[in-house]
Amino acid sequence: MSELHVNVFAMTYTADVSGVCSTMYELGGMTVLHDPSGCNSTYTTHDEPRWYNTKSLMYISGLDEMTAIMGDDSVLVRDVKKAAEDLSPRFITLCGSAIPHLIAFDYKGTAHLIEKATGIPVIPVATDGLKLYTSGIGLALREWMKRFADFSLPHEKDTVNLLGVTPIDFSRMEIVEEMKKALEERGFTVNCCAAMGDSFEKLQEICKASVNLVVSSAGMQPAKMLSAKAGIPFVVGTPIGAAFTDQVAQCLREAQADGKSRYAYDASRFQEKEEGEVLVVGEKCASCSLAQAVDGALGREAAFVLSPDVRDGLDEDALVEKMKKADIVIGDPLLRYGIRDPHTKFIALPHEGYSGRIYRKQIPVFTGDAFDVVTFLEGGRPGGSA
Amino acid sequence: MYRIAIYGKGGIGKSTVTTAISCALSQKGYRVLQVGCDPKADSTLYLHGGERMTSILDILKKKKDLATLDDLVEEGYNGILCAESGGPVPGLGCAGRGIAAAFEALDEREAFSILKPDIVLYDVLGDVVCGGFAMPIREGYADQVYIVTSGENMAIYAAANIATAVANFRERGYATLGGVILNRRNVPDEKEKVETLCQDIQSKIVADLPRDNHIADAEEQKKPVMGLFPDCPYAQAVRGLADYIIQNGVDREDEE
Repeated sequence: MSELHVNVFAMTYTADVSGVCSTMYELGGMTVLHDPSGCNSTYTTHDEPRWYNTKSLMYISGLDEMTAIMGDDSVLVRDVKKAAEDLSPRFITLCGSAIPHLIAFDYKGTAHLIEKATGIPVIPVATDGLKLYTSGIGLALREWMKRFADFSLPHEKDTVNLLGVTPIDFSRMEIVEEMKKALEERGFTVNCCAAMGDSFEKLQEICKASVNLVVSSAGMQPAKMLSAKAGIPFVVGTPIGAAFTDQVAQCLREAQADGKSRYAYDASRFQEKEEGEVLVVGEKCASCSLAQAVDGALGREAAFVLSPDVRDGLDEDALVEKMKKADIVIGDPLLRYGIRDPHTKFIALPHEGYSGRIYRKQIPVFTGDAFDVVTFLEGGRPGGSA
Repeated sequence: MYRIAIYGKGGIGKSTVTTAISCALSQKGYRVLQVGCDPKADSTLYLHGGERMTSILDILKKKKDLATLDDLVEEGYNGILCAESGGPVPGLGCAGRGIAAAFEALDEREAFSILKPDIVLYDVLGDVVCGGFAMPIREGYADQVYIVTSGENMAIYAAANIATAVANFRERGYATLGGVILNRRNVPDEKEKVETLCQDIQSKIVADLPRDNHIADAEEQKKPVMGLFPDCPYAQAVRGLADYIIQNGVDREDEE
């Protein structure tokens, strides 16, 4: 082993499989995770905020050693068929963990077999349990749309979809509603919110929009697909605070007019900037949007961003060094323990894909016009909390 | 984009045939990508003057996510794009998973939409022993499989196994069998034996490639036989095979 990583306080973000489950949770399908189960199977029970309140058809295949060695996919096909006969789901999603990935499990081919056996549409989502949850959400949304979206619908002017919305990033519906409200107050109709709060039928009409808004990195893959296949341009940016939401709305109007996709924040600057007054640690799209909102509120280029990935990991020493370069650090409460300088101010912005439900009640409504950046930087509760 | 996988028993001449088809098609003006799917990483050897190119897995091991498409794919003889999946050291690791990882690396870098090849040829090691070795014929990769065999019994048995695997995978939306390539070893009743095989697997001989010492001469000079001896009997037969593959192929757009 060439590199040794020791994590004392830092967690890892939840992986792609959780992202798939989260995306499909409300769409009326059955999601099958190809995995041996056991203590591995926390994808929904620990990582899914809706698990205790909302019913959903999530199953783990219970892959065993001999089935894996012999490549006997008929076991999975048989079990899924039996479950599908009992539950009659509208569609089936097939994803998996690192173990099927390592034996080169054939998602597409097995999906064909299950579909033939059940007569129910099967969406293969080839996750590997090694990538970030955003990758799983993106893949799942893209594959779902490829199969079920109505690409023949005409685009309606000033109509926008929100892409990359699941409770992993946005926790509560009121946080999503604030985004919608902010856009509607700026003259847009929100068509679909993929995939939180909208029904299967509603999401089928996703191509009615004239422009897409990517509000988390998870929205990038479906946005690119909808751009290529339906000619809908996209804007990347999470509406955070009134001023930055104005910027987002302006970008949406420009993208709708010229058909070109763009970032609402200064993506290249945040890619390169290594130090500053305010460090935002978290998912890239929302963190860069918050950083841009911070810059706007302070009237100077003060913020920089750090977005740890699951696969690459982030050495705690590197994280601590980054934190030392800022006067204010914004991030999940677990990161507080990385602060070494007593003068560094830490502002908690909990993320359920990082610390689960522990800090759920502390998550502020961080979207829309209600979120006041200055109040937030002062340690207040902008926009309220649950 | 035509996507073809070449299978057959180890040592039967798959890499020689695949390289020759690549050369023939590139000489006709097609943009060809040849992907070697063998831990030995020697499919494209004679497209690079006998020099082994660094395999995709070796590059990924070294550069990880920083590896670019340019790192993974090199241009060889007559502009043929070359990639070698590579694999673990003999006796260790997992060669099948290696092929899958190499294919995923090409996918992640959108190799097909960026390189825009007219033809992709997968040169696959021996038998379909596990999921990884079936990768080239899974949905999204090759549309047709050609099996190389001689009239030797062991080569025929291997060809029959491969044909069975292709037939078994059909329900999964995998590639179909394009035909059998007879690569002669000059054993008695060679063509008759291979014709019997074809009846059993419901296929046909699509090319009869003669045993030709020009191949060994060209390898001695570390060059492809198609470039060095374009008029030799083997080269002429391969050109006919290349035409057959195109005429009977499926020209499909990349899905992603």
